[in-house]
Amino acid sequence: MAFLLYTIVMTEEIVNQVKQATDYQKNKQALREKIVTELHMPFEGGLFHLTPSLMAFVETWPQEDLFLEDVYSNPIPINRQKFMDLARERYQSVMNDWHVKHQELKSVRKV
Amino acid sequence: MSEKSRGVLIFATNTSDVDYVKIAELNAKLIKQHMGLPTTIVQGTLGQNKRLVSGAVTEWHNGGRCNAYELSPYDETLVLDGDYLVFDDSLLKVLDTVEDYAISHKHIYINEQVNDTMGPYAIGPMLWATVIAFKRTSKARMLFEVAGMVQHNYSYYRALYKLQSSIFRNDATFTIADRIVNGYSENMSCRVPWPIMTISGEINRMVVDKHRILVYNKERAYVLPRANLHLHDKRYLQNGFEYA
Repeated sequence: MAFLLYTIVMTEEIVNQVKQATDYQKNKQALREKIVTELHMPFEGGLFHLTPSLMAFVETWPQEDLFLEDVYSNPIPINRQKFMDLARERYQSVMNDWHVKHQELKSVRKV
Repeated sequence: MSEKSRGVLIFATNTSDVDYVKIAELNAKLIKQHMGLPTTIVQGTLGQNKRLVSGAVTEWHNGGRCNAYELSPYDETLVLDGDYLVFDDSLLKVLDTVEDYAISHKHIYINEQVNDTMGPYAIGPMLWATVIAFKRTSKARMLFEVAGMVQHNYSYYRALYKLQSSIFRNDATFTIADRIVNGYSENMSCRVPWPIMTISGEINRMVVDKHRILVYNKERAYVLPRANLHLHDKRYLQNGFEYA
């Protein structure tokens, strides 16, 4: 009888553990959404999604001042150097955070 | 020039089984903690509605949102669902930069595939009234006025656009209002640029630590970043969640 009870309890425990398994792909997607949100940077009244192509474009622009379209489809006047100083700092910080949290997620299979 | 006031508006009216005000108060603390903004909770909204929760029809008061422009005491306002829990300051960026108003237009359901649309004959892609940021401009005022008109004539608009859902939905109302205000065109300057993350259905447990939010339902657990989270299970939420 005691053995049967023990078996039932252990089975429930195992079932609970299986139920607590977590889905890496779902967690990864949620983390990426957070990171994309963080990669949005307000600047001079506009809001910019920092992407490698945007940053490369601004970096290689030959003049110091230019107009950039923000996520609200407005042309925003920017100073190239000021924009890039902030953009580099934010991009590096957010991507570093992403890397650290992604490494943590990869090791999590159940919680 | 005096500094413009900023704050959050949450509509919350208790029903027989859910303490919406308690959920709003819980969220108000999170809002203060993460965005440093005050919250005004609007109670006693009329317009009783019904909705399906886990297969059961439940009571729901969701009719007041179109009055947000008039009711908000702030110059710059975020209207949030009470159950859209604030765990970061990302919405401050929207308040910093939006011209008139911004509504969420993307939704990600973490735990299931949900194809939530207005229907095949809809006026355009569905928007989500879960998050609306607005400033006191004539265009923002017009949005709420038109939303009020749509709400008062909901059966007409429901028939016109063959809306799938028979119950009143703020999402559909504000989608229609947004299209009308923008001349029946898609205006991306009136959008929150990133999606809402949602956990739908019942949950068993939610634990928040310094870096993560752990959500357990009967099937799985989800390891989420500390980011704003729309949690549908109000019965769970009214009792708060755990901090690790």
